Amino acid sequence: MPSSIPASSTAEEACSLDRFKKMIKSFGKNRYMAIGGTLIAIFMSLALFAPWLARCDPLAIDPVNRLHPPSFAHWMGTDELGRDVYSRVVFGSRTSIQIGFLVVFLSTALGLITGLAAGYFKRVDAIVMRILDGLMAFPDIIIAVTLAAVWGSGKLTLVLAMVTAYFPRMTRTVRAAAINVCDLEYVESAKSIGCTNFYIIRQYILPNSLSPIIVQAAFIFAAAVLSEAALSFLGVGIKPPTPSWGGMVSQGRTYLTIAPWVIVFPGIAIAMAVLGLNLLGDGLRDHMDPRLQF
Amino acid sequence: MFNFIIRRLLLLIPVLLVVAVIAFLSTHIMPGDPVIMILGDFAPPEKIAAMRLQLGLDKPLYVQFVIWAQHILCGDMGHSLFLNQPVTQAIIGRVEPTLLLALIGQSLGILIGVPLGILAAVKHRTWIDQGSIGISLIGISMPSFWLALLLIMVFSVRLHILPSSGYIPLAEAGFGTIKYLILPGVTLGFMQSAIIARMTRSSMLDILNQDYIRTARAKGLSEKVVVLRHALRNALIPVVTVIGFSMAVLLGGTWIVETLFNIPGTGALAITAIMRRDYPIIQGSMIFTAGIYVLVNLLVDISYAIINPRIKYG
Repeated sequence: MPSSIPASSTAEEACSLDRFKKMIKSFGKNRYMAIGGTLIAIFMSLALFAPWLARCDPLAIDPVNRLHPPSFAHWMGTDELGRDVYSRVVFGSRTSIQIGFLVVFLSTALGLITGLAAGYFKRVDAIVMRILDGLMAFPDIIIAVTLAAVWGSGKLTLVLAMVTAYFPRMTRTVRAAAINVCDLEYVESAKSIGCTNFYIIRQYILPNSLSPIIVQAAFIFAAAVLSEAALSFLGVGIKPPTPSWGGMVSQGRTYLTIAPWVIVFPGIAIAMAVLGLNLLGDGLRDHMDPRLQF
Repeated sequence: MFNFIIRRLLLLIPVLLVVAVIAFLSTHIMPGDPVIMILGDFAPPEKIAAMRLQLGLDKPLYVQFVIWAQHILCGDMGHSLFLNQPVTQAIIGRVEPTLLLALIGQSLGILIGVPLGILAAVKHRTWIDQGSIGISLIGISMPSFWLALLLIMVFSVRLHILPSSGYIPLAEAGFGTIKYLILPGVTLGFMQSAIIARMTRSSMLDILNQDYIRTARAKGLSEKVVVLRHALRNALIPVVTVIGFSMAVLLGGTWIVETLFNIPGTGALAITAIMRRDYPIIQGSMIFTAGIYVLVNLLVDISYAIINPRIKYG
């Protein structure tokens, strides 16, 4: 008789089953973050340990072994100058990471200043938002390409061009978060006891706006890696022979028909790094503040 | 409604002003003297002075801007330094391929992205959902130029069924033009569908959690009726906005894809101008692209207000 099982035990069982299901679900939800984290860890360690991971000098030219297909000696084949594609992909991660970090750091700094000012001081808001509306009317890649080309080559100009393209996103995020926090009662109470604006921003607004800022930073990092590749591909980014993933695809496209490995591997590297950052951003957003899911 | 449109049009003025300032400054704040760049290092001083006077570079920056803006308002964007053609003409002459490409890319994006996003939301937390999130995440993570090269590798080099580059205008080739636009269109369409699918999924998920959906289910309506009649109609409203937003990516994409596939469109014109430092064309292209983006978003906003009765026109 099935009903002979005590009721309490079924309930308990159902409860534990429920909990188990929930755990699986949350695991499934965070699995993206886990995959993203793993990809980022690989990406970071490639950059950190590049000299040990690379098997050859990424700049060493070997004209005898031009455009060799992947083999045991050259895991990802060789390019048009006989350079080891694998070593160049490994060292290319340094370029992407350096530029990505700088872009994230500078656009976060700029976004914080402008966003906090706009979110907290109503009078600044209108001016900042109009400028941002104008900036955001340009597709970001177009701002980056134009400025990088016009300002001339160099890592710094490249970074500044990309910061100009991406900081408006951070400003918007910071501003939205700041406005939300500004309406809360503790900010009002802080104002009423005579705290200075600077103190309120530092002690209340900033810490409470942190999670969307971190999420946005992950997405800007992803966008920066992707657009560094696009700029280098168009020839206005990192100049050869410095290994850069976008540059490798750009130089390899001439040999597309006879040596596809020259473009396939750097392309996979770009896609994986950006995928990892996007996954991390998505995961962080879900994890830190489920309300931000839209 | 009329007031809403007027107000929205008035809001365009500051945006377009900032757009103009950015386009102007981006080519004026730069290292080096443009006159020397055009004439070369060893040009005689009187020629340099004459050129500077001709380009108006002897005046202060804000005066230059005002003069420049006045010309733009009269529809005169200046003369290309290399093409021997006014900027406006150069851009208008290259609109056709860009327009067709954007249409193909955006239609593909909507046709794939919207159903995929709905499916993912309805089958929330199943393998279908996870699979479509996965595909669209890969879609937004992949560089467009790389995808384009892979497509060329498969369809042009190996299978020989589609041309890898070039373009024949509609007037000459008729339907034959499409052949040249399939690969670039698919490249853009895949990127667009990834963005649109992601946003459709989240707007649909949002709506499926609304009270009226619960009411509909509680009334005992079938899931099909709930999804198609109650949720989808409402979920499509934000999708319209998404299409406006995604125009930015699409327009940026045409710059890269046209260059790659050697399509003589406005994007390729802009990139060539950037490489040659043809400043009037760069400025013109920036204003053109931003103008299109602003215009599309204006239309999106207006149609949004028309479809969604909850939006207040005031």
